[in-house]
Amino acid sequence: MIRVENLDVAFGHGQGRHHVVRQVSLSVARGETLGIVGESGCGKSTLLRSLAGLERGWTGRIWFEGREVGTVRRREELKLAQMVFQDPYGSLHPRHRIGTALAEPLRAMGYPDDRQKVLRALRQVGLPADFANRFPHELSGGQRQRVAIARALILSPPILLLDEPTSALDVSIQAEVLNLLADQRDERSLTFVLVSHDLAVVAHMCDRVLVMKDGTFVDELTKDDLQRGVAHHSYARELFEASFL
Amino acid sequence: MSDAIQTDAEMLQSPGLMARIGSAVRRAFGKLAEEPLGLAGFAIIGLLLVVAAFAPLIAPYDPTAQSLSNALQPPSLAHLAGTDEFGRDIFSRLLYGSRITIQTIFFVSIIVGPIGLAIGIVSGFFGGRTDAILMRATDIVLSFPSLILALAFAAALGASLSTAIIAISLTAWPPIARLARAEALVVRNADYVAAARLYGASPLRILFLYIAPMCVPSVIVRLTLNMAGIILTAASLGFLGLGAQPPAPEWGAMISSGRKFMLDFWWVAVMPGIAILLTSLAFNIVGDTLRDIMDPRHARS
Amino acid sequence: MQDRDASPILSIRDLNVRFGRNAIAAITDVSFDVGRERVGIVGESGSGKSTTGRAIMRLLPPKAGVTATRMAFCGEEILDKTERQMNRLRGQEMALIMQDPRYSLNPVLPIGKQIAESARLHLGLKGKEALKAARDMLARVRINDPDRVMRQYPHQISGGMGQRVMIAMMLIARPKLVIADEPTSALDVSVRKDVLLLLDELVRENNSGLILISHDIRMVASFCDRIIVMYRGRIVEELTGLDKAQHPYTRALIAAMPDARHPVRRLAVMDRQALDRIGERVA
Repeated sequence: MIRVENLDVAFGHGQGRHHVVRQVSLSVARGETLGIVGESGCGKSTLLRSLAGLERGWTGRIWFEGREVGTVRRREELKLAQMVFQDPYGSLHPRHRIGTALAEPLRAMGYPDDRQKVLRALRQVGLPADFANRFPHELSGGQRQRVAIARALILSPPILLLDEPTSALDVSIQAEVLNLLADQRDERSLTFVLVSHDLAVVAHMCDRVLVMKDGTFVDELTKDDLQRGVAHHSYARELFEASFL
Repeated sequence: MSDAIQTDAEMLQSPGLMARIGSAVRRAFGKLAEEPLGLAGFAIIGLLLVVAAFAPLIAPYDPTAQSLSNALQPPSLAHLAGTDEFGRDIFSRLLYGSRITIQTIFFVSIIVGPIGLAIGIVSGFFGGRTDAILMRATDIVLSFPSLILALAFAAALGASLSTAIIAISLTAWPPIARLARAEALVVRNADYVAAARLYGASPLRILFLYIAPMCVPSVIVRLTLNMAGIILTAASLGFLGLGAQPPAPEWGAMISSGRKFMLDFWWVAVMPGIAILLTSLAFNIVGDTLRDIMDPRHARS
Repeated sequence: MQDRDASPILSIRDLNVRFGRNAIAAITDVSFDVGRERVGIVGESGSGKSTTGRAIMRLLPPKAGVTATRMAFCGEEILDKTERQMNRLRGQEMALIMQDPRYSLNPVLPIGKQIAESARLHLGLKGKEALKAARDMLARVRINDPDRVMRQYPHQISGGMGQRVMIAMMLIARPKLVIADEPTSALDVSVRKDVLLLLDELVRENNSGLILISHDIRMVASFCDRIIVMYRGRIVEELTGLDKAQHPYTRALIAAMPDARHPVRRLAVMDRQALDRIGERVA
């Protein structure tokens, strides 16, 4: 479903050159959920943004559904992968009503305005239809994140890229959002790439976890490894210990 | 879930435009009630608008009717603000002068607001070479003293109210453009703009539907604060004889013609001075209040 | 000495905090004692846990109405103190460590100066002595190269290092009570543990009390002697271990956390309506 070969991202030139992602390769099967854990600055978010097409300065090769995509995406390519952001307060336009926020992807893609579709999308993420007329500041963090998920799914992409989708939320809200994501994944057989610093969240959601440090993957853990608390690399072990205090 | 479906039907239409505006106005008034000073500013400007609209009805005299026998009368019940050197009623002239002031402010804002906003957001959003060129142009205009440029312009095109308006507009857009650019620079990195890129929104769509709405409030606030300056510049141009031409009752021109008699007959210059002072003060207060209302970041604790 | 150890450092009865005149209660009838121990306050956002910490330090804005039948620090009523007495108390007797060191350190002063300032204010040291005390304190919080860090500015150091500096600054006067409000949530996972262990070690050494405020019930449980669980401004439960949780809210909070070693397909979700019904009955 997703294949990445030798992805490399660097910012700046000369002395100030900062190599963020170093020659990374990975592949994700259809319906699989891949987790990427690492600490701040390890390059996990940059990797995800390169996959999404937000970061344009990468080299290497990326395939979605067997089709190679470049740094600049066409509409058809954009429809393959959508993203959910970390901060539910920053990912919705403060002056757009929820209904507008959900209709925008359709309008931007040139589909006819379909209010039924918007209301259906709201219902699918467990929000009442009258939320369509509200502004983001009238919603809680968890509700906003639900809207962000609905917006990402409204174009029916086969791939969803999740950048710390619950780290700004309370534990009980996090549980609700993670459940929602899992339900949508099973219902639509979506492929997820989930980036997080929280090993527990990644372990809960993912079939396979890559541990990232300084721009490269240092360890790969299966669901079984996570359950038994096995790690192959010393850094991954360190993360493990710190996560389960 | 059942009540969600029930509400579906009524929610198919968004609430009427009137209802939306109504609730927005109510909210604004609610906030305004907490700011007595701001309310006073709004009241003065409201009064100014009413006066300008109904000047012929309110004014006790014709603003241009001369009566040399009544020249330079001190303020009295017959002439609330006294009379000038031609015996014209200053109070009536002030009332009619508010029309010129409002006209100047209105046209300058209409010209400067959109131009400043457009240059600012284009510059901030596209960045790179576009940004460099537009901002250097802005810097150049900004480095002209506005009154001198307006002077030169008015001198070249001939003195009249419309050249004064064009001249002021020419020098008033750069601060707006800089402000809009600064806002756009912040907004363009927001996650919702990133999301819009991901679902294929075109740059123009992002510019007008995502970035511009976020910059408009601060531009409006800045424009309101600028109005005080515009009034003063217009008055200065009038004082120098480069704005509205006599016998039009422009406030600055009134001070200018009154300055010869100022030492003996203070009201000739002081009355229009008070009008200018009050109006520009009111616009400053309104600008500050608008900033508090529209932009929660500046909210007083 | 024996006597003082037995009496609690902080004793609170019926603390209420309201914001504004017409009053949404942020905290309702909160009572607890803190001795020379580690007490955790756990709750989600809006539960009033941070407000409690700030009320103890008297750091809430003036429009907040704080009332309590008793709020005693070392036997003295906190609410009766003047602002000047509070200023002496804060930093010297009680300290607050906040979430993000980047916002609590002065960005235009070198770190050494800031800690020395703290030593000057609270220990009465001057010039060279204060700087030496600052250097020693940095070494105490296990900063490898204290002389270099002394000269650095806050933006030049990492988050974990910044939090150590904060701890050094706050604990230099050996306060009797340390309130740590989410001290590790802005830090990377791998340094969290070190910072907590360091905090614990210093608090034990000074024989003072620690209030650890956090949203992470597991971290608090592994760290504190007692856990106070707050929900909607009230204390719902006080416990000594996670396995002893009785209240449905606490149980729901624990169940909602994903655990890699005990995977579930769906996480347990809180039934807020049921919780509110319980809350109403209690009230």
